[in-house]
Amino acid sequence: MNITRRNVLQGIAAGSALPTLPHAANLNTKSRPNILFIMVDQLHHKAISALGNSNVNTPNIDRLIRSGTSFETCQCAAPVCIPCRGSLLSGRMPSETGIWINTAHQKSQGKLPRDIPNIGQWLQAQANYETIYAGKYHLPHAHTYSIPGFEVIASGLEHRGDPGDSGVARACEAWLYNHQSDRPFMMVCSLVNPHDVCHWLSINTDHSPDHLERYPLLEDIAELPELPPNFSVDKSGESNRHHEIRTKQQPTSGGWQQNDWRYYLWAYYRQVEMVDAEIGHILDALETTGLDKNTLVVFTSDHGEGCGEHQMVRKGFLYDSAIRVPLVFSFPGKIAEGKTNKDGLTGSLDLMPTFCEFAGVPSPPELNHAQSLYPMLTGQPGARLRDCVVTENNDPARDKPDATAAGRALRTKKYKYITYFDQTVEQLFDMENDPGETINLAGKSQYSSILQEHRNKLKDWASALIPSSLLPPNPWIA
Amino acid sequence: MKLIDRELKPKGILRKPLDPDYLKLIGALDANSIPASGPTARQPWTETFHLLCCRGSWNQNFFTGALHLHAPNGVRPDGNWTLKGKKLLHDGLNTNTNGTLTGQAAIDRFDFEVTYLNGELSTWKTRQAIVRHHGDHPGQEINQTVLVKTGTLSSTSLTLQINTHKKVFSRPTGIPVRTLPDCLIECQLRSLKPDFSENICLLEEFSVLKLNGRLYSEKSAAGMSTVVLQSRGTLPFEFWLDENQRLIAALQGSFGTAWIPSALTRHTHSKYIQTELEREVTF
Repeated sequence: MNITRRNVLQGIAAGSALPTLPHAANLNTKSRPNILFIMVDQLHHKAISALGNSNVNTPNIDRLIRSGTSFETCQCAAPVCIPCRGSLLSGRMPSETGIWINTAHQKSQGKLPRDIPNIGQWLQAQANYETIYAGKYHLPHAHTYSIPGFEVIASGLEHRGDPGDSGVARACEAWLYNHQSDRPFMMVCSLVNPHDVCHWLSINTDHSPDHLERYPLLEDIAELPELPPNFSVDKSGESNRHHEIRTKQQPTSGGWQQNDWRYYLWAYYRQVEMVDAEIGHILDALETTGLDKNTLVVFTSDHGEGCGEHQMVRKGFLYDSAIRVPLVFSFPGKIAEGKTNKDGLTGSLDLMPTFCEFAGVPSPPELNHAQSLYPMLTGQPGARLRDCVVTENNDPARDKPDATAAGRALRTKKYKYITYFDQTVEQLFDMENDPGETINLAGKSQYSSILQEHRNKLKDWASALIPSSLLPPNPWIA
Repeated sequence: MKLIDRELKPKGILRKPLDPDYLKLIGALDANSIPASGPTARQPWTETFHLLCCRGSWNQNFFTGALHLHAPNGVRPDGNWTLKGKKLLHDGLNTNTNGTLTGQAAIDRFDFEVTYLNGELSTWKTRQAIVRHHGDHPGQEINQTVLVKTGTLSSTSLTLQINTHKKVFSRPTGIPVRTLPDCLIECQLRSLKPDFSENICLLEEFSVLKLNGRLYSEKSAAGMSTVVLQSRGTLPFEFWLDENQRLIAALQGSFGTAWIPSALTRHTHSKYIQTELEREVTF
């Protein structure tokens, strides 16, 4: 039986099961694993103490890293919330979901199309999972009690990690302590922090320099974080699009000095620690109840955070700080402990098929750019590695509804290629020797064949998309 | 000058600076109903704070919840007393372009009851729940989100009970569990970070008043003193106390969160918050 879009719709509507995977033939309702998917908002991929960042203390994310397998290179589908969240929950690129930009004011209205199931709908229909959602949703409303395929137990408050995340984490914690059903569950716990740094940024920029003088009580802080090595940038090798984004951001418009940047980083790391503490409550509940023995825990972020790299903050651009995210899988006895996978290129789309394979159900159809990480995570021989992974960026096009500012970042094992539709400057970085993306190789003649190779890869990648009919004109889609 | 004069204007009540002089000017000392230390402290008292946040700008304040404190027997000089409280936060709401909260309302409810023996923390109970205020069953707790925790601190151990799960931690001997006078700040912290009580056993130096790090000492102005919490795991948070250690207000100065005595503002609590303020639960 082929899985088609038509029988997907029928299957979701009728709750009927599609064929199970070979490895899952013996799985029944009781033996299917639980899945706990913890997602945070705007976490830089290195803002974790277990990864060697001494500016931050994240004992709970560290627990997951020590007990599981991390992927060093994971790119989000888009470097802003709404499009990326649509992709995370569906396994489809923003070009395919029609959730194109970071606002509800688009043709899709920021909602997944009915014929593209989210993970909750899919696992509920295929394997009778109990599907629970807590926290930020953002498709399009950030906080809602109406999410297709999920029972919502808490929703959070107004894009605020503090104080909203505490209630969300407590609801998850309580749900786990109270869990008694034989049905497997999938719980999505979507926390807002460290996204609060966006509010911090606005507030402190509005009143700069007064607030920066008053807080953080510099005399009381032993050490502010150092600026990242790629803080200083050669703007001549940069696309105008990146330059425009930087110019509009608060630090540039506010004339920040180096200490202002360092305080920003200090405040950001405190917000990372806040969300880490909330994660700890959930992990404690999982362990105390013994549910951890049959639960796959997955941790990631929707997108990254500038953190001063290239003198940029927040997100919405295609440097690694904004598009790379942490990705951790933990499952005692099933997944290697304390392992970092440095070879695999992964993307946030990969979560959907990975969840499905762990649950023992086939993936939804037409996941052309998503790949299950199950074989790599479980050490199966012949696990296929990706050739490339792509991030779409359309957010700066808010002022250009025709999306002419659309950009793409294609990552291969050694190189990263960035292009914006209306820009003449392309960027090519040697990610092995220049992980900070400081030297643009695109204009160097000795890299012309590599550049062309990456252009072709992007073209091939785009040809496998199934574009949404709701898309505005798009240079990569014929 | 009443706070309401500024409340609905663009700058709102989080206008800079919210400092002791400004708090005194707007009558914060008089508005607080907590009795001062001394003979009157034995009397029962109740105080409710508005919880405010500003979103993205000092110009967009919104009332996000309430913090209610109640000492049924007052504060006894021998240090044996009980403090009950509830923290109520809106849940499921979004701000529209006018700065108004809209959406499907629920309340994130957190109740606590803390007892002190000889001035030291002795026992506590907490109860948490998400309460729907929309749909078919308004005011109904989402069953699976209800959780009660209890803790007992002895001279040698800390015992935590969550549902049927019990954990016992040894307590380092000879290290007192300290609190500030009247223990108010500690309770505020417990409310702010509900599981802070659990963290007592996790803190390296076993100090109730620390939140994953240091608690900074006080400074004084305008008849008030402040304790600034600034450490790993939190942004700087100022707790302003009067000379009798009554909590006057709290402000997360670098971010935009404030706790203001309700008497300082004519802004009424939302009907959902009000309903929950009036509803009592049993642990």
